Amino acid sequence: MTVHSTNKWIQQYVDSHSGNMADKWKYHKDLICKPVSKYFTNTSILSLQDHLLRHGLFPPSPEDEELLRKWLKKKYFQLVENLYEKYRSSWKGPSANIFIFPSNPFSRDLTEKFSGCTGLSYPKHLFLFLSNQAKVKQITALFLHEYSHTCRLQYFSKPEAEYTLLDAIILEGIAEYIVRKKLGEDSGNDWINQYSSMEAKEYYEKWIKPNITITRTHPKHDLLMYGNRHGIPQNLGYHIGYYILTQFTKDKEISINDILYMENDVILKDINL
Amino acid sequence: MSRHYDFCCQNIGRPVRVVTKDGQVHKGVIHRVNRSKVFLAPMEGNRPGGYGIGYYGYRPYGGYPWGLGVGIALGAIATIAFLPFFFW
Repeated sequence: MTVHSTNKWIQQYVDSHSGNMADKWKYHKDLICKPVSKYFTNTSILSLQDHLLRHGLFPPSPEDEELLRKWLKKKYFQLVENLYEKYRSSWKGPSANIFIFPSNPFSRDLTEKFSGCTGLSYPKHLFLFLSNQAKVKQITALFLHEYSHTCRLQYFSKPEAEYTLLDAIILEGIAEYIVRKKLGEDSGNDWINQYSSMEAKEYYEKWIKPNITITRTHPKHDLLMYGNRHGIPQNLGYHIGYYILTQFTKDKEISINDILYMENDVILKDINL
Repeated sequence: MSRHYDFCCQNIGRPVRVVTKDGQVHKGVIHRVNRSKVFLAPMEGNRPGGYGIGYYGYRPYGGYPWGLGVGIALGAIATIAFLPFFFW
């Protein structure tokens, strides 16, 4: 397993020189998404394409050739390869299929809130969606966040459908904690609120606690993680996860490797929620 | 005209399970229908999941018509059945 040569796939897409948007969508599906789809055997290529687009993959656009050419000149692959080797060794992490793609430049939310960089992780696969302006520190923060997911998912291995909301919350809290611990407080998602203990308790009691055991495929799962609908605060699961980790690690000396592979219950039992 | 055309037109927005004559199974919400195809928007259950950094959204290039959704030839459909919808 390795950092895949997605630059070659993107080059093929650019070389298709299609000016027709319907063709561009077809090439996007066939040249970008189809090679990935063999790692996701239970999902159709169209569902995968839709899923990756919703998580930050660039969509076809009339002017994308120039944007993608610029992107291909960036030295992202070597940087990610180095990060992967380094943290795979120091975290005793698993091998992973890593896919690096340009991110969506048309999403204001992605550009402004996430500096154009986002990702997606699985027990064996990891996606990084990077903008043309991605800085080394941003890519490093994103990689640490996503690869910490891969490590933990692999360590507490089970079918994805069995992962619970609590698993996701702790997973995200740990990722944000690790990014800040490694790169400083100014790194990581700067939109993550430091909930007051009163807010955290209120939200936890109201939204999270009654649903703590729902699994990954339950419709409420992503609703509670991402929020912003039905009166649920945006990114609720991420905020609560970060709150739990900051409470747990306060006044403690814990190594990253210890926290990365710590049981949910050990963390949860220790804090007052 | 496929007997499925009217059914799909009357049920846009409803989640369905479509089995095609070659045995393929598609689940999705009926998004649009034309004389030859029905387009299903993927549902959460079809998605490959994963854990992100907090971003979830999608903005296609400025107003370009939706390029996604599984298009199934109406003539290739064997059966269509409703799926239970989730309510919060």
